[in-house]
Amino acid sequence: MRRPPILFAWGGAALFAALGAGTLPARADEQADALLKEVATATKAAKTLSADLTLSQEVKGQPMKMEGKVKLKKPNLARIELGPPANQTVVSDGKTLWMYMKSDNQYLKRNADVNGLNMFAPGAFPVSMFFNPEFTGLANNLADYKMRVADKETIGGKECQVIEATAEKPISHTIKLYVSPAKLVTRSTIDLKQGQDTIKLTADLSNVQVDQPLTTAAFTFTPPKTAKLYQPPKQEDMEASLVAVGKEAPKFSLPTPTGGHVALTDALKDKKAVLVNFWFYG
Amino acid sequence: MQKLYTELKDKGMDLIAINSGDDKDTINKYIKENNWTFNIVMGGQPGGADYAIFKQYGVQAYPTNYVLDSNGKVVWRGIGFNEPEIRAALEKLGVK
Repeated sequence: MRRPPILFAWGGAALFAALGAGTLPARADEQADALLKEVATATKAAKTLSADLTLSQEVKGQPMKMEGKVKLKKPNLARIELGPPANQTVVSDGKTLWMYMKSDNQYLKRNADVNGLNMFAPGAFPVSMFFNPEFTGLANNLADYKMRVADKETIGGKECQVIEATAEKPISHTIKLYVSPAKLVTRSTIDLKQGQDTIKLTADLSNVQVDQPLTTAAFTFTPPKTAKLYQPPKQEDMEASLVAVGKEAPKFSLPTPTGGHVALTDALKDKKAVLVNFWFYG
Repeated sequence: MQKLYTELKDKGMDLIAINSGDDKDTINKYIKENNWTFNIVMGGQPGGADYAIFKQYGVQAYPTNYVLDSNGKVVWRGIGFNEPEIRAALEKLGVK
C-alpha cells in the first residue's frame, strides 16, 4: 500500500514551492481590502496565540485529518505539534527553525526568519498570517487573484466573515480565509483543481487564546540523540539509476492518449537524434 | 519543449514525451492547452504492471530527459530540463 502524501506537512512544501509568492497587489475589491486591513491591524496587535490546530485534506476523494496544537509568539517564535499521521514537531526558537518527523526520527533545520516568514506551514494561513498578516496567496503574482467577501459562515459557534481569493494560475484554485469576530484568520481552506482531480486543504484553529503569556521556554527544541538530520536526495544519486551514456536505450512501444501507438524504433528511423522526455502533470 | 521541437523537428530530431500516471483526459487537455504537436505516450501508473518503462530507464524524478543517437544509444541524460546541455548533445549529433 502506498501511503498517500501528506500535502500539508512535508509534501506540502513541495506542492507549493513551485508556486512561490508574489508582490503585486491582488485585484482590488473594496470590501475585501477593508476586511484584510482589519485583519492586519488585529493580527499585528496580537503578541501571542495558542490554539488547537486541525489540518485536513481531501485528495481525489481520500480524506485525512490531523490534530495538533500551536503556540505562536511575535516576532518569530513558534511551536506546532502535529499528531498522526504526520507526527511532526515544528519549533522556531527565534534563531533556528526545526522540523522533527517522529515517524522517521529525522529532523531538518534552517535559520529562522526574523519575522517568522519561513515557518514550515504551507497552506496553513491561520499560522502563516499570524506572522505576516498581508495576504500573499499561492500564485506567482498577487494580481492573479480575484478577491471578494463571501457570505458569512458559522464555524465552531462563531460567525466568521469570509474572504475568498480565486486565481486561475498557475493552477485553478480558491483560497478562503475565515475571519473570527476578533478579526483574526482562524481557518483557511484551499481548493485546487488539477485536471479531473480536486484537492481540498483545511487548516482550522479552535480554542484560540490571544496574548496568553508564553515564555521562551515553550519554544526550545533539541532533537533526540538518535535522530538524524534529513538529507534530501541528491540529484547525482537519482541520476545514477538512469541508463548510462553509451548504452542502448530500452526499446518501447507505448499507447498514445488518442488511441495510437508510438515505437522508439519508428521514431529513430531517418532521424539524427531522438529526445525522450519523462513527465507528469499531477 | 514545444519551442525546441518546432525548431528542430525538420533538422533531424524527433521527440517522444512519456507521461507517468495521468489519465487520458488529463493528458489530452494538457496537450490542447499547450498546443503540443510532438509524440506523447502513456507510460502507465506508478506501481502498475504497465509501468516497466520507468524502471527500465531508471526514472526517479521529473522531468528526466534522454538524448539518443540514430542507433538508439544514450548520448546524454539528466534530471530537469537542462536546455543548453540538451541542445549541445543534439548539436553533436548533427541536429542544428
